[in-house]
Amino acid sequence: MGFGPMMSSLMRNKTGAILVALQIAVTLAIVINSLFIIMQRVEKMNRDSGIDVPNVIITDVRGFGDDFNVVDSISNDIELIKSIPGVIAATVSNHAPLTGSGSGTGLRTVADETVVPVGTARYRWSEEGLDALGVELARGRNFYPEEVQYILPTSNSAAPASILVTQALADELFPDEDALGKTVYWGSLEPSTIVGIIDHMHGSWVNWSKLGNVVVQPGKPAYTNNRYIIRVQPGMRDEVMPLIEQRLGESNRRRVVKDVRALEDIAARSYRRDRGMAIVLTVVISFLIGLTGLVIVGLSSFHVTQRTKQIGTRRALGARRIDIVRQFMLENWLITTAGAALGVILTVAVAYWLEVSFELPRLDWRYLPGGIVVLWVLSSIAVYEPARRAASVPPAVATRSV
Amino acid sequence: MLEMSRIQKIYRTELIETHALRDLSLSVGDGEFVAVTGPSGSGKTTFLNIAGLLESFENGSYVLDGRNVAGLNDDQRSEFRNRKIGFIFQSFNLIPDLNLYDNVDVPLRYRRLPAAERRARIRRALETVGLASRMKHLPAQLSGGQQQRVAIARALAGEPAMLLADEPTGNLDSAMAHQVMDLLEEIHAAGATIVMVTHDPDLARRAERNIHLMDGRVALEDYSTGAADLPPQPADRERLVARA
Ligand SMILES: Nc1ncnc2c1ncn2[C@@H]1O[C@H](COP(=O)(O)OP(=O)(O)OP(=O)(O)O)[C@@H](O)[C@H]1O
Ligand SMILES: [Mg+2]
Repeated sequence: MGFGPMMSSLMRNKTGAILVALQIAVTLAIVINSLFIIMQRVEKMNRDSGIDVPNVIITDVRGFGDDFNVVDSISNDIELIKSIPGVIAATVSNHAPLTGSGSGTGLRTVADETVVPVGTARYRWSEEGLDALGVELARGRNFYPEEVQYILPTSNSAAPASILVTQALADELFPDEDALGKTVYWGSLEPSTIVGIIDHMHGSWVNWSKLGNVVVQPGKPAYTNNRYIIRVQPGMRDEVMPLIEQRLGESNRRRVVKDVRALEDIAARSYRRDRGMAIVLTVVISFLIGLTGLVIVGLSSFHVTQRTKQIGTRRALGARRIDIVRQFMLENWLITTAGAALGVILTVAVAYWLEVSFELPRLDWRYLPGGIVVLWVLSSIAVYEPARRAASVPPAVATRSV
Repeated sequence: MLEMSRIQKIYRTELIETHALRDLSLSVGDGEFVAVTGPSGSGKTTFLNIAGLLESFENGSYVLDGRNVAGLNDDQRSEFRNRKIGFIFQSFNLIPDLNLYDNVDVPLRYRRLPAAERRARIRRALETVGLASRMKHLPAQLSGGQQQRVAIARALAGEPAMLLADEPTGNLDSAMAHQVMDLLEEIHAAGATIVMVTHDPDLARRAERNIHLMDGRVALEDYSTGAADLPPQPADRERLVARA
């Protein structure tokens, strides 16, 4: 059947066609916008953290008793941990990155309280800290061992002379200058000098837009609760974790091992809402695509049944099987394309609404042609079986049916 | 034009075999107008379907317009139907969503004729049946007799070698039936070969030759005046055959 007659035939049987076109339009709008959100979440989860996440172990310990010697305990623990085969480096630290908990601060480039400080995550670790996270120093130097002191709850926390900052923080502090060697001021306006620049490293809060801002002070926090960051050789993590638990547990009865966890698991937990959203949306779009496929199968099957006699007549008048298949495919293509055209408008409208109400980034327009092609393919697959059934209507139906 | 010899057709279902045609032999010459009569279930439609390549047959041979059709595949049969045969059905079989013009166009599109030629043929065919002025109308806006005339136009537009009609007046009152019959006679007078199945002895008499089928065989042929008055036949069509 030609294009023109098919259009006029469709226009006389609008209801089903319009419903399917609407279904396709809604599917396109939801699938494209969801896919866009999924891709953003996936990109977010796959960001480079600058840290050797798969090979880092975080261990939390807690000492108890009045005469607990925290400094001895920490130095023994670190020594013991480093004696386990496979361990590359270990440090005590106030916090660990990607965990969702940490401490933050603001830095200024001038000693003036009226200047708005630049926000950043703040860590304290020893000269082994960089190595314990697998973080690269881009320029400058690491802490000297003599700069690293135990920081007891009682000690007064004067600002350290030397600090490390990430390149991201350095760029925000000194957009037009080299930050290396520069002085920055803490909230109390005490100065510190930037002695090294970390190439790239994520801080504690994965949902913070300035996740890459990190400042590191030299020091070994020595409190009742302490946290160790340990890095092992690739592939050794799962072997080393139980050994840490076991050896630390045996070595000192005044100190309990609260938790030995892979940083990978901790980070996955921090990203669980993103992953959850991606999974839910994937389920939604799979369901929707399946439903749309079924609706198309349903409508075209209905059309086939409804038109059995017409199909037989067409066959009697000289249509080959392929002509019948083509008729149904073409008709379905017209409905799909009409739906997709409407769907493009709907997609853009939904994208605009998401952009305005949820501050999502603007939809990448390249998703649209991709989505339309997917729907074309989907609808062709869905209509194929009904169309084949139509083609197998025997021509004798023309004379046999009333 | 049409040469059938010892054609057999058996319909098989789960339980029964129906011998619809038993060694049917008959021929129709070029330009002939033949009426096929016979009691219900005698195999008239079956014969017409086989003649029009709508159905296959088991034994025997069938030569249509000089061609042995036994070896044709499905696509070739479609093409053969499209080029050689014009069908006229009892219930008209117009496509309800298409206007008269597009209805007549259906077989021409399957033949992939150029648009200009299709247009000329559709116009001519609709003029022949006197409905050119209504070509934008839908079938439902026409009377039964008019619809059947459109169906005849559709059959004529392809300029077939042979028109096959299965009770073309069966759904029409007698006035309209006579109009349609007049039209068929006109077409025949212009040279067309027509095979028409009918129950109506009056209409059958207007054909040049009557073939009376009974129980899947030719019971009587009458070249002179038309159908003979035969006594009604006992129902003797289906044989129950228990399958192994
Ligand atoms: N598809 C089929 N399956 C099984 N049996 C069939 C089928 N089509 C026809 N028959 C049987 O074949 C026999 C001949 O049928 P046919 O339709 O040719 O008769 P007919 O002469 O056209 O009858 P009528 O005057 O009622 O139209 C009948 O017994 C019929 O029941
Ligand atoms: Mg019949």
